[in-house]
Amino acid sequence: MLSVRDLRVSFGHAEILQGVSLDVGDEPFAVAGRNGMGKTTLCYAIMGMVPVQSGGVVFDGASIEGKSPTRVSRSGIAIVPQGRRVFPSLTVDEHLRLVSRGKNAAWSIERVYDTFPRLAERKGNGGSQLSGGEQQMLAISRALLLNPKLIIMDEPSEGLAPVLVDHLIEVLKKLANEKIGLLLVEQNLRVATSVASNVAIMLSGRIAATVPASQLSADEALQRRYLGVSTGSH
Amino acid sequence: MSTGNALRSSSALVTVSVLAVLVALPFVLTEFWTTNILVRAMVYGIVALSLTFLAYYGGLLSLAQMVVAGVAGYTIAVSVPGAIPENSLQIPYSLAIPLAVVLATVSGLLIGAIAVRTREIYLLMITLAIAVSFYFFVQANVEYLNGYEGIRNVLGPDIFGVPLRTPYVFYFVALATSFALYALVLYVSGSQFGLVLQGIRDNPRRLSALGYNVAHHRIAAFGVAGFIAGIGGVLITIYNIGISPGTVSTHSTISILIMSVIGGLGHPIGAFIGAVIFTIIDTFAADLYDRDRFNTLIGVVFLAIVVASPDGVTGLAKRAGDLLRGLRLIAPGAVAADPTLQANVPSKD
Repeated sequence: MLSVRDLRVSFGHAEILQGVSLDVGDEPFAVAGRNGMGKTTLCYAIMGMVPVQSGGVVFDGASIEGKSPTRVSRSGIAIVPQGRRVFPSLTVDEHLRLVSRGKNAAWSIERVYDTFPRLAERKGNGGSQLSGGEQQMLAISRALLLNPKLIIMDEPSEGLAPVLVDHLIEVLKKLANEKIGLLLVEQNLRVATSVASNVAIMLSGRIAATVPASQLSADEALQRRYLGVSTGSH
Repeated sequence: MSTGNALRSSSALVTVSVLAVLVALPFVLTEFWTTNILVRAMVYGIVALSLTFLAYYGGLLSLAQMVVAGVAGYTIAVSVPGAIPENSLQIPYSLAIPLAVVLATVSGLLIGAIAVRTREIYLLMITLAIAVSFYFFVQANVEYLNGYEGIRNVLGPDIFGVPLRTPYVFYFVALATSFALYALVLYVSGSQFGLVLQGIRDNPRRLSALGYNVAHHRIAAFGVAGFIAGIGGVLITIYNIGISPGTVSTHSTISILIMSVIGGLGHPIGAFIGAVIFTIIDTFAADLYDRDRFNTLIGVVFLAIVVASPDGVTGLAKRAGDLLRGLRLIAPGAVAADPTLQANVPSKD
């Protein structure tokens, strides 16, 4: 579905992405790595939100590198950004109406409210009045209403209480059954390995290894080597 | 939600009662108050409304709204019969007015296309430059626009056989137009287009990542504002029985900005409240204070309003309303206890 080939991005002299290649198929795919390894830059580069130096991004058979975020989004990729980025001055309902493609689309406002009843209760509340978990649901809903073929999620578990992380895992698993592609960028290994089938480990702007999720969650030595953490310590 | 419905129906009630009072006013007030204060406030208030619309929903503060109004005003002035100096077009008002509004909308779109890449102080400077150039252009153009003197005797059309400038008739036409445009702004702000604009104001990068073309939406917002200001420009020209460079001078441009700011940029009604306050002070300051120095009085009053409430009169009303509601509904300490009532720091990208 999405194929990234030797992608390079630099800010000034700092080469943030040093030739990243990965393939996202129908199964959820995760990218794990510590802070500062270039995970968010990778998301932005795919979306066209930062200039790409070289390399290619092919989505659904069409080359999309160097296209504007508007064009990339219209080609069928939606992003749920790190830190949620909901609009402080719009209510929940206004957020959803902003992106709604009508009642007959696969994802309609009604379906979002059915899927996330908590959002229906908070309909009239402003974006800045929501809790972190509610903001995350809203940001995911905002992406779903675009009826994308692929969703990129940047650190969805960041800043969420452990019980909400469990809920998030359930939501992401449900989405995986919806035939929507998922590129999940996560520091939280538990989230990455329970949702994705394959996990790419990012180290200093490169993909150091791509391993099946089951292997990564079982191999603590591997976790320590690349990530300096283990699922046990989380 | 029940509180939302109650709030909506109570605000509808306020709107209906304010309208009823406005309909009754000309029968109570003297003709001077109706024509020289209220009609003047409404026709200029419409231009201020276009500025408030751009500023609040689009986050775009433009000083070129009087230019757009001037385009509409000059269009009818150079085309209708009866105008002095006489023109060769002689187009009836029924065609000249729609033409004027269309040209104003187009010039709004053009200004938007020029200004769309700039923000904040740079947008202000570009639109100010456009306003100043337009002023000098109309002043220098003697052949078509009659230069410094401008064009006189633009009397307006007849409405059902009665001249538009008959005091009552003009009042109700201005009122109906103002209300329709106010309703238009509220409607647009709740539509998907309006929500996208507000999203762009909050975070343009996010909106482009959601698949919206930020530049196109901003230009379209300038077009909507141009349509509103164009209608204002038509009414201003008929109100003044003509148009001259003074109508589009920097002084007028700043007056429109002052109306919007003292009324408050946080709600479209602020434009009209600001226009009424501005017109009253502008009319009576010369009587109250030394004839040579009445501008000082005007300045002091505006300063006082802005210092007391940076978001203008509507901001003041909003805070007073919140305070009253707070006293009635929420026990002391409830705000601190309920995290949903505390405003978080808005997220930025």
